[in-house]
Amino acid sequence: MAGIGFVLRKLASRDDYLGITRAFIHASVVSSGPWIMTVISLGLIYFFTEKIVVFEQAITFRTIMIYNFSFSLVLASPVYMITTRYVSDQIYLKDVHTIPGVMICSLATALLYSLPLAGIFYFTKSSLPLFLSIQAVLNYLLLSILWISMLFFSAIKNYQSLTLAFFLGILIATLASIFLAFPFGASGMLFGFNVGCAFIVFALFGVILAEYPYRFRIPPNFFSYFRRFKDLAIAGIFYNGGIWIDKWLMWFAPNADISPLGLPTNTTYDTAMFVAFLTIIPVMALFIFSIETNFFETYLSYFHSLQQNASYRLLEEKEKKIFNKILENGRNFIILQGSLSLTFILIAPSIFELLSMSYLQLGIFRLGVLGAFFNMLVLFILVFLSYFDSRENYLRISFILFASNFIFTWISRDLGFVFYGYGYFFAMACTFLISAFILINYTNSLSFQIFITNNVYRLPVRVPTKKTLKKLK
Amino acid sequence: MRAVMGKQKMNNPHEADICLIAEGSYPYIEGGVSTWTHDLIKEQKERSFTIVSLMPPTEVPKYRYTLPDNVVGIKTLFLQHLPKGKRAFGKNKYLIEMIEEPLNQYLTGDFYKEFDRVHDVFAAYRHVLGRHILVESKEAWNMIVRLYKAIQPDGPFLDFFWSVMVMSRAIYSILLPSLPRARLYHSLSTGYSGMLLARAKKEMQAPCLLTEHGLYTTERRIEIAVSDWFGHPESLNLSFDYRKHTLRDFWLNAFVNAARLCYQAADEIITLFEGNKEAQIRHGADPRKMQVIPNGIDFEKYVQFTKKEEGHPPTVALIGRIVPIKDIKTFIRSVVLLKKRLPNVRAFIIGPTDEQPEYYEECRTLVEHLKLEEDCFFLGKVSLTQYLPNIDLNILTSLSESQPLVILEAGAAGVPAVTTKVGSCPELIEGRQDEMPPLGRGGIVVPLSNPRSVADAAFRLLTNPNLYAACSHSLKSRVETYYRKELQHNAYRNLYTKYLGD
Repeated sequence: MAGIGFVLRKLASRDDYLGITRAFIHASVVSSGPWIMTVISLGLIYFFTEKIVVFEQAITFRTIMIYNFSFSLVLASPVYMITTRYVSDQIYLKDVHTIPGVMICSLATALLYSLPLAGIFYFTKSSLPLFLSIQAVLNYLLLSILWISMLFFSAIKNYQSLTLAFFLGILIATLASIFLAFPFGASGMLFGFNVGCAFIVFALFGVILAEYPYRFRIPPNFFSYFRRFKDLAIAGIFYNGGIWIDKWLMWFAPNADISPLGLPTNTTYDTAMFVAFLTIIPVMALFIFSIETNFFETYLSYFHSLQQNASYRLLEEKEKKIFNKILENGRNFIILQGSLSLTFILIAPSIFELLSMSYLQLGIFRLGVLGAFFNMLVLFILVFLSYFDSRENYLRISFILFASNFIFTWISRDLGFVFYGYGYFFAMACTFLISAFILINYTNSLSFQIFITNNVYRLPVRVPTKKTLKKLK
Repeated sequence: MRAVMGKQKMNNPHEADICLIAEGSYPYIEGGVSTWTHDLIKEQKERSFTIVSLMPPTEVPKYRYTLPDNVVGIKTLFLQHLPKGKRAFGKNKYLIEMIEEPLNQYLTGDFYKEFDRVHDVFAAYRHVLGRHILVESKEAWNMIVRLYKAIQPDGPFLDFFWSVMVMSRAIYSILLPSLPRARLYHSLSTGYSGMLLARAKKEMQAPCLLTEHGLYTTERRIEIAVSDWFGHPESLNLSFDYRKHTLRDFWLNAFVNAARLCYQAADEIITLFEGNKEAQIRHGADPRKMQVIPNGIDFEKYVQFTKKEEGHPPTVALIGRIVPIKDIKTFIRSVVLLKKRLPNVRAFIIGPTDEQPEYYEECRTLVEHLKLEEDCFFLGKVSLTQYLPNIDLNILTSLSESQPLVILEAGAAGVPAVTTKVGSCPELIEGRQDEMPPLGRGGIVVPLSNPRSVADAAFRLLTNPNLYAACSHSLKSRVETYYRKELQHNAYRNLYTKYLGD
């Protein structure tokens, strides 16, 4: 995350509104590119093909997309987390020569275990025709690659090309699936979507390799990171699994749909939640921008003073500043997103009319908007904690998010339709309260955490174990 | 076979006669003290030894010596390394408060007076104390901040933090682990070993001996003086404030405290030469406990090389590791001066070059600059006896020494010496004050870092056959009379018998 701050600030420092707007667009692409892409293309494709494609075909397409999206995200997340850590360490050490190698190794690792799973799933567990299965697996492959390639962009300065790649990719995906929908049905739509995805993937590869034009070599110690930072890998699974677990559970609710393929989904719940999630994107972009620029400066200033051997009094002052920055950012987000979310909740009926959505989904949507609001707050708390490398708390919060969403959604599902959506909402609200408590506690004793708890300043004591000593004798 | 022996030793660790406490030396690091220790154990065959070896916590150490059969146990203690211990414990706050004042004293006052208190706390809570409470707890952090505010409220916090961290962890790592049982404890230096000796005295009520080779406190003082960490360039600027100053002082104060503790605990304080006594007394050693047992050499081995090889050009040699403390550069500069008056002179520098490669590089560059490539040779680590017949004069320019054996070894072969006035060098060259009958001088003692004096002294010895013969003879007789290995070993045998019986 640290890398992108400088460029964003440069963009914004053009001091005209256009500059700032552009920075926002880039920030939102970086933070939520694939998500926006999928939801927007799905919406567009759905809107345009509604009249021309058999309902079953559209459902098939949608089901495959949702399955691939959620499972590729969760399964790629351990590799994503570990690789992010590795890349930022490499950048810190100013050794970016390894990046092409890291990219290939991380993709290979992620696909090594998740691609066979996807293959087995589509070829044996579902009743998809062969061509559609191939397209589905291909789609899974492309999405997985997309998640992992995205992380290299936090280190790359070329945001314009990233945004452009996504814009063109969405355009291609949407147009291609619309045009292929009528003659070829679901497999045509999927193929079209894959073409768009492939375009983005190749464009991203091009930009990354142009930025780091080094020969491939196996990155040193890369694989040992999986052992050293297994807490991060596990936290990745919990967090991403945690924001999907309510959907997965709802696929088995009494009102769930069984698609022609035999794969369950819950259109009522899923669509409402997806659209609800879109409501936080503008403020999220703003907030990422704010963290990466003004918070990051305060943060750096603390560490500079530390390294320049400042007095404790000065460090205490800077510590207070960091604390205040976090509060300030949190307050801004709550006010902005809070009013925005409230507006969406109030004008929900009009939105539903505009998008021609079912009023049955209104309650779920409203709870989804509130839940997403808290969900984002949790995400930002995680971002702050990762700035201080507090992996223990990161893992703790991710686990709470997963567990609470699981439990509350299960309960709300049992309570019946009227309560659908409450599970996610309560889970996110609870996780937020707990993680806010953790963050405040943490930043209140920041120096203690940095000097003592954090690995960075732990003494370099490497002691042989009794076993190795015995061996030497 | 060693493996089998090792196993046997580990099974029976508690019945040793003598527990030797070594710091940064035997059996993992080669050097003067380690070789001395190895010889001591081998010579005192009838006694069983257990060894506590204190090591820095960086590398996995390897044995550099084959342990003699009478070593029945070895315990390696890594400084600063602590067991995890309990995480939360009802008395965290109380424990940390008990440690706070002594730590303050360790940095700025008289820790040795507080030692008993700290020791008792550790003894009582040994089973719960560890990294979690002592280092990683909030109470421990608050204590460091309080100490900082009390001692150095506006100083550089990071440096302070590190110093306190390293020092306190080192003390904890000395106080926590259990001690091996033995009937007598013998520490080979003050410092952390000395602190461990103080613990042994208190816990085991066994007799405690201290043999101090070099003066630990003095050696650390020099180390601190040359260390980069303390001397940032900006400390030389106009605002000569107290900050950097105190950081140095903390460390020195800590070592002085450790020395005091050790002197108090020891029943016998043995040193290699008279000159050390003064500093020991200054740091609280009781003169009544003190005695000198100089190191000896194998006189018969070296005396064979008395006869010089015919026809070699006049040759001076510096025998020692190529490190700054030996001040090799002064030697090289003196060779230039000597060469002006004695053009065919040749110089050998005999000793390992790999300990501080960058210093070795600097010395080589100096040789090139002074155009001495044809006259001054780095021979590396070679056998001294091979070169003795070709060496006329032994020169030692060290900034610090305890009792350099090379003066004795070359002296036994009739090679007189020019040495700086450090450690026991004056005693070796001019004899102890109570030497009876006086044997005369065995060379010339010169001031520190003074190439001209070294060159003058060497010139006089090399060009005045009468003086040379006299010095050669008296140094040889002195070595034969006072510095033979048998004398050293007998002295220690008697000491051990005094405390352990026959």
